[in-house]
Amino acid sequence: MNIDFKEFDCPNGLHVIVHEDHTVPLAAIDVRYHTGSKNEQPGKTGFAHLFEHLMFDGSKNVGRGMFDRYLTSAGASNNAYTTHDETNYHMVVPANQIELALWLESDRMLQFAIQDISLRTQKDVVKEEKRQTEDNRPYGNLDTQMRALALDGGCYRWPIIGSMDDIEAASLQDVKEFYETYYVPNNASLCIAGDIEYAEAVRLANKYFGDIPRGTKNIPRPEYAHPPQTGERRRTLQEDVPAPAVFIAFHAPGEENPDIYALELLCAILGAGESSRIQHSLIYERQIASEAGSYADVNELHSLMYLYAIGARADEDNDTLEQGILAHLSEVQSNGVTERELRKAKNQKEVQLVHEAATVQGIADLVTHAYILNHRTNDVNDEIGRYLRVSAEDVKAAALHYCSAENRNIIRYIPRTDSASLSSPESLENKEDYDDVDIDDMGIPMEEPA
Amino acid sequence: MSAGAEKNSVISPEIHSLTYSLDRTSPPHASPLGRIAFPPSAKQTILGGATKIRVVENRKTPIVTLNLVFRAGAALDGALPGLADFTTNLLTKGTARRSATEIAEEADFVGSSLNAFSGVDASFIGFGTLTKNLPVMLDLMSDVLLHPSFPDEEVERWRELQTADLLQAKSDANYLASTRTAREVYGVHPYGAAVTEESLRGITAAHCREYYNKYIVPGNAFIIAAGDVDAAGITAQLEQALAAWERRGSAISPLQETAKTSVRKVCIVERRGAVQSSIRIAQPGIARNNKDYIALDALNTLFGGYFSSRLNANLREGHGYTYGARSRFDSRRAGGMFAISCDVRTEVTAQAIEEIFKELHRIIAEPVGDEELAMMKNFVTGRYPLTIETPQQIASMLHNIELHGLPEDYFATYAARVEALHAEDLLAAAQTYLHPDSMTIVAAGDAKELTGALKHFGAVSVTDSNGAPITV
Repeated sequence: MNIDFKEFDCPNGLHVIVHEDHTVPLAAIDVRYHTGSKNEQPGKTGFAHLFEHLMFDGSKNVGRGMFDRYLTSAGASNNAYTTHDETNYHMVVPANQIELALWLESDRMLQFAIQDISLRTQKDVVKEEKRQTEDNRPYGNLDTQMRALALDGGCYRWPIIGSMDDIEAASLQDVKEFYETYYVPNNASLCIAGDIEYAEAVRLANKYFGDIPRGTKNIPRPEYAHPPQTGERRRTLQEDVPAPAVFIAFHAPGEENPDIYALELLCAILGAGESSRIQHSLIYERQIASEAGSYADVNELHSLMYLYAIGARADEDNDTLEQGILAHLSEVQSNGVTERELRKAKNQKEVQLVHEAATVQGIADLVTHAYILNHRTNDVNDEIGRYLRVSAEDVKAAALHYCSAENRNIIRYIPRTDSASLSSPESLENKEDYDDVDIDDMGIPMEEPA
Repeated sequence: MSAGAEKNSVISPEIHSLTYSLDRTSPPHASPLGRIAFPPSAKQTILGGATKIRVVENRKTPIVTLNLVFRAGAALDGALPGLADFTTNLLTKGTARRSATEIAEEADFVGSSLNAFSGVDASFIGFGTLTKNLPVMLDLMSDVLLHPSFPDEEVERWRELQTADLLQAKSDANYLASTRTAREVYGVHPYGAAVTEESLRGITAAHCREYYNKYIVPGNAFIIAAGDVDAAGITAQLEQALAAWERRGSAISPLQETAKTSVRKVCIVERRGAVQSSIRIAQPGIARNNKDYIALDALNTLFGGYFSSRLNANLREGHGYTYGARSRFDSRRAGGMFAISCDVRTEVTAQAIEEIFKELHRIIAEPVGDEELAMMKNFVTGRYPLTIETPQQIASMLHNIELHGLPEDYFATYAARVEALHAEDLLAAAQTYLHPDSMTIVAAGDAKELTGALKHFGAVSVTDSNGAPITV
C-alpha cells in the first residue's frame, strides 16, 4: 500500500496535502486542527468537543443552519470528530463542489461567528450525546472512570465529552479565546483528496485559505509530565449493568514511541479475533465471557492498553474473569509469542490499513493525522513497515516493560440489580451518521442514492 | 471567483505569496458534473445454471468481497425464533475436515473472517479478503457450505453465547425499543418475532440440519463478488470450489404481507432510573418492491432521512432534545415498517413526541415547499458519485436488485426518478401511506416518569425487558 500525495505550506502556516484520484468524480476535504480535549483546562472539560459542534453553527458569510444546507444541496456528506489531541472536520463532495467545500471551511477558519442561541442549543445537544453514549449505556462510563483512576495527573485525565457542569459553564468568551488560539491556519492541516489536478488544488487552497492571517497567540502544547505509577490501582463500581465485567488498563507511551507497534501487536495476539488467546480461552473454551479482548487507546503523548472481559452470566465471578485475562498476559511475559501468532497479527494490521485507504475520505484522514502528529506525512506509507519490523522478542519485551502489576489499573463492574455494548470512545462525532440509516436488517449496508 | 491563474495551468507553491481580495459573501458557482455512467457488472451462472453470480470488477484496491446469499432468513424461523441465524452461524463451527477452532484460526491468520448470519429475508455466507488470500478464503467457505457437521458440543456453545448476548442486549435501550416496536407493529407476522432464551433452548442440531437441507441449497442462492477480480476468473474459481455441491432447489412459499394497525397506542419498556427514553413512533410500511418506494424514500429523506431533515432540524437543532432524530422505511420482501427514532432526556419525552406528531401532521397536510424540495432533489442527484466510489457499494445495490427483483437500471436511474417528482406526488404518497392516528409509540425508559406523561397520546401498556406486562 502506498498513498501518493504532494504537500506544501501556505505562508500563513496552513499545511496542504493533495492526493489525486480520478477514478470517480468526488473528493474528500479534510481540515484537522491540532487541538483536542487535552488542551482544555480543569473546570472547562468537554470544551473542545462542544466547540466542534459550534463550528457548524455559523460564520460571517454562512448563517446559522446554512452550513449543512449548502452541503446537503450539493449532495455532500460531512461530519467532524474530536479526540484528546485533534479535531477533524471532514466532507466528501461531488467533484464539481470542491470549491463550495473550501469556501465553507475557509469561512469558518477565517471568521467564525455564532450567537448565544447556538451555544445554548449545542450545550443541550452535547448533553444528550453524553447521556446517549455514556450515562444511559451499561459500562458507558468506563472511559471516564478509568481516566480518573489511572491518569490522576496530566492532560488526559478527563473524558473528551467532559462533565455536565463543565459543559454548562462554557461561555461565549471561552469560545472566542479557544477559536483565536487554536483555530488558526498555522495549527491546521488541509487535505484535498480525489478528482482534482494538483495545480488546481494548489490554486484553490491558496484562493480560499491564503489570506487567512496566521494566529498571533501562543499555542499551548501540553506535556504529559506524570511520574510513573508505582502500584496497582483498583476500583469497583456497582452499576446498572447486566453482568460483572473487568477492565484492566496499563500505562503505555505516546503514539510516536516505536514500542506502540509492539504493544498493538501484543493486543492483537491477546485479544483480536476469535482465535486470539483471550477470546478463544474465555469466550470459546471456558464460556465465562460474552465479550473479551484487548485494545489500545492510543494518544499523542500517553496511551492506555486495555484487556477486558464481560461475564457471560449475571452471577459470573470477577476474580475468575480477572485471573483468566491476566494468565494470558503472564504466559506471554514468560514464554513470548509464536512466529505464527505474530504473523497473524501483522496480517490483521495490513488488512486494516488497506481498508482504511480504500476511500478518499480514509486517505484524507490518514495523511492529515500523520502530518499533525509529527509533520512527517509520509510516515503513513511506513505504517505497515513499522509493524513488520517488530520481532517476537520485541512483543515479549513490551509485555514485560509496560504490563507490570505496578503499572495496571483495574475497574470492575458488578450489577446493581439487573440491567450493552462496550463504550470507550477514542473520538466523538459531531452528528449521528445518516449513512447508517440505510442499513438493512441483514447487516449489509445498502447504499443507494438517497 | 478569483481572476487568478487558469485552471489546469501548472503553478508552483511559491505563488502563495499572492494575496487575493476574495469576495466571500456568496457560495462559489458549481458547474454541472455531466453524465456519470453506472459502473458495469457482469452476470454469470455456475453449477449448470443453478446459481447466479454477479461480479463488480474494480482493481483499485487489492480487496475482494464475496457473498453467497440465500433467499431464506429469520422470517422462516417458524416456532423457533433465531433458528436461521443459529444455523448459518453453526456452519462455521465445524466441518468434516475442520474444527471450529481451525476455521477461526485460518480466517484470522489472513486477517479475514468468514461471516455467516441471517437477516429477516436472507441468509449470508461471505468474506472480505486481500486478493492474495482469496484461495484460502474460497476453500474455507466451500468447506463450511458443503460439509458442515453441526457438532452437538458447538450447538451448546453457541446457545450459551447467544444467551449471554441476549442478557447484554436486554440492557440496551435501543434493542428494547426496537424489539417492542417490531412486536407491536408486525403482530403475529414472522417479522414481529424476537429471539428469546426459551427459543434458544429449543434449538437442536437436528433443527439446524433441517433448515440447512431445506434452504441452504444452490437453487435458493445467488452470489455477489466485488473488487479486485474479473468475472471469468472468479466464476471459474467458484465453479471449482462448489463443484461437489448437490444441485438442489428449494420450494419457499411467499410470506403474507404485513397487516395494518388501527389504533394509536403507547408501549413503555421499563428501564428504571434511565436518564433518557429511546423513542420509536412506527406503523406498517411497504415492501421493497412497492411502486411508490421511490416517492416515499424521497419524502422520508426530507422528513427524517438526513441531517437537514425536518425531524432533526426540529428536535436537535431547534429544541436541543436529542443528539439525533431520524425516520426510515424499513422495507422488506413482504411489507415493512415506517419508524421514527430518537433518544431524548426523560423530562422532555412527551414534548419530543408532541413535536414528532406536529411534523407528521404537517407532512400529510401541506405540500413540501419549493426550496425544501429542491434541496432534497439536489442532495439525491448530487450524491450520486458518492454512492459509487467503492465496488462494495455497487455490490450492495446489486444485492437489492437480486433479492427484491428490482429492475436492472433501478439505481442507475434512481436520481432521475426522484428529480421527476413534484410536491403533489410527495403529498399524495404521505397521505396514502402515513397514518399518525394509528401509529404505535414505544419508549424504553423510566416507566414511573413516563406513564403519566404519555397517557394523553393513547392507551398505555408497560412491559419489562422480557416483554411481560408489568404495573408501575
